[in-house]
Amino acid sequence: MAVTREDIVAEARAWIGTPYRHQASLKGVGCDCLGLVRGVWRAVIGEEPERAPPYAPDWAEALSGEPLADAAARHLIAIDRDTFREGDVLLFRWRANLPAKHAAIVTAADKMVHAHDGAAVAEVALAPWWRRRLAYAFRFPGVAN
Amino acid sequence: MAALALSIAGAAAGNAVFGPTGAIAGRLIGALAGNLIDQMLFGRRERVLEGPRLSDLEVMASTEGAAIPRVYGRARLSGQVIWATNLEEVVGSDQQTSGGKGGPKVTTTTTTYSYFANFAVGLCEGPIGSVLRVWADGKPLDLVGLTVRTYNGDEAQTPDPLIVAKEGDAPAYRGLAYIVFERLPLADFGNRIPQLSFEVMRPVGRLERMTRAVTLIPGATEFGYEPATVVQQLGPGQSAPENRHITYAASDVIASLDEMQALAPNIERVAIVVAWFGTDLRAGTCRVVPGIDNRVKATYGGTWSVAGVDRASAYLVSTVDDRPAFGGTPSDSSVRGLIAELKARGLKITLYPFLMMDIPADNALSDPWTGASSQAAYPWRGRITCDPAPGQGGSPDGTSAAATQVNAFFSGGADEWNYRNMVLHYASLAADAGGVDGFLIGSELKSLTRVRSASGVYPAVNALVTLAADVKAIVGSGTVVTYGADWTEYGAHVVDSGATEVRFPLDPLWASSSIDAVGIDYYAPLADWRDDGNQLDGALTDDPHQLSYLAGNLTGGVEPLFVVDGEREEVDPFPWLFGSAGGDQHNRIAEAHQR
Repeated sequence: MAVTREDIVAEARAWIGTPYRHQASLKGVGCDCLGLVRGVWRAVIGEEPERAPPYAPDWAEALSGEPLADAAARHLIAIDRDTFREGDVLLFRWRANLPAKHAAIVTAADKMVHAHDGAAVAEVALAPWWRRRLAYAFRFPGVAN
Repeated sequence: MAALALSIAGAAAGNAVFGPTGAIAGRLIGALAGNLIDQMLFGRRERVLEGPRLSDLEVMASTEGAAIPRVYGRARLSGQVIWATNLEEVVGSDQQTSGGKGGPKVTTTTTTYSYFANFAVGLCEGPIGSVLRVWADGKPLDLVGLTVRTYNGDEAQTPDPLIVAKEGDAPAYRGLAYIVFERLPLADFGNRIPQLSFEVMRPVGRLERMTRAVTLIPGATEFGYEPATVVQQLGPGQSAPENRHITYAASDVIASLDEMQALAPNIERVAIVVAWFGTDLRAGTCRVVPGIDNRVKATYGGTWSVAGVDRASAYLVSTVDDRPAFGGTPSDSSVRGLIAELKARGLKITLYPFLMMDIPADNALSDPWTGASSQAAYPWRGRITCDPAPGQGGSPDGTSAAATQVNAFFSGGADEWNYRNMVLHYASLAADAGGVDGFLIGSELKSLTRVRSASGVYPAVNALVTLAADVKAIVGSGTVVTYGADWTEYGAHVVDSGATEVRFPLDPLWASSSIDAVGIDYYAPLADWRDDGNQLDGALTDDPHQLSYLAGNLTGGVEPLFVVDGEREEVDPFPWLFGSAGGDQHNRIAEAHQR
């Protein structure tokens, strides 16, 4: 079954308002930034291909390498960072020398849906603050257009 | 019982002495003392300690209807809190068991409370350039590691993601410069939002908006170009900043670039000066080497290395009053990091290898210009020449011996530390870093490009033509390659005083297919005004801002400011800029004294 960008965006928007809960992934109840992407995957593609390992809120500060980007590359299609469109997944890094640890789903040319740490899932502007921290962009497999 | 009573008493005492913060401390001390008494009185095997806890999680109020300030230039503002959530409370618990060996075993559970604040502070009318320093309770606040978003108050700014996530929807506060703090830890501020003030910069000048290119100096700085933080380790437990002397960015160069772009938003191009050191004014014996300012310095966050040379084996620059005369050559990794940083900002880059003459005052080098037994201290590279210099008795100028000396400067020496080595190293570095937009193969080798090996033959110019071709082959056709000729060098060479022979030595270089532009370092003698009233232009006009007077100076009449033996030599042209010989190494480009 082909996946459309509209499906992904609609599903991501359906999560808006879900409270932030570390490691969770349940629409309307609680999720973190990765949980949002996992939930959208379940809705538009199917069963999750891999179980996310337990991780601490500060795992990116404590580990080396790029575990989040590596996991994304296993299941999503890496694209050029500047060519993302609605429905694509973005990964952000907070500081230049740390691995990417935050994920969001593009919903428009200048907007994205993400789970804001300590708050809730929200659709926000892809402001310069975010663009400066953009590390990777990925596309869901089988996106039709 | 005792715990409760003493806790209240402690809070009252603390409140009287220290205010609300003291009250918390007092309550804690009271609780601890009270628990101790309870422990002794009742001999319980378990005790529970409660850390200080705020009873009220509401944050400070802000004034309704306060005026929005308008800033010109720079100002320190405290702003108005325009949005805040309740303080976020994080509860921690810690259990400790003590006793045993016959005594009672006691388990202590300590509950701690830490608080975080989310809030937005409206500053002033936008658009501003940037917010620089931030003070919290009067002390500088280190913004690195905090999540802080600044909105400059333009008409296109978008709502803050945190406010949107908390409120569901939010205004962008267009036209208002504001700053959002996300989860600011309040432990350092007595668990309340600190009194904040902000250094706001709003450029209003015309010159700033017209500026499109800058040259980044000092050029001699081991880690000054490193975008990441580098710390100098002085000893066990002791450290000093190496490249970070501010609190609002990870390094000095990042803060400088941020401020520059805020101040001059139309900047398109940055030239990075990277300096090696020349050791002699005599071309035949001059070595060109990367240098360090300290042999034993230990650094964390970056390790100095240039062209494969490490700190242990690098050339150590000379000292003035026991301080290094120059900063060291920028570490290769810092130059690569800076190139990547500038590219990420969308700026074009010119890489500018530079030669500083590290010749200290007490040298025993024979002076090619005078025959004296010692060369003038820290001269300009424009004074490198053959030995003796053209015009001096016994000069090899006009013979093949002059070519031998000049070629030794460019490519000679068993150790390979020559001029070509420096320039080709940076050409390779630029190519490795993904390419640059412009590249200088050198500048102001004024007395070298005038040396002849035969009538009309200038070996230094030939060497530069070869070097330009070699650099072009490395950096590629997309990079503009040129040479920065001194403004007295780029044109005619009047060979004899009667002007019977006039040549244009640099023409073969400018005509080279590897050179894309004619480069001239131009120091126009526009004006001469000084604080002490001793200006030479006082005779021309009373008004230094008069355009017709300035235009007249530009097009004629006034002698160059930099004349070694002329009438202006007694007046140091830029005393405030270059300092005295013993001054700050970073501000001193000593060559200026020799012009």
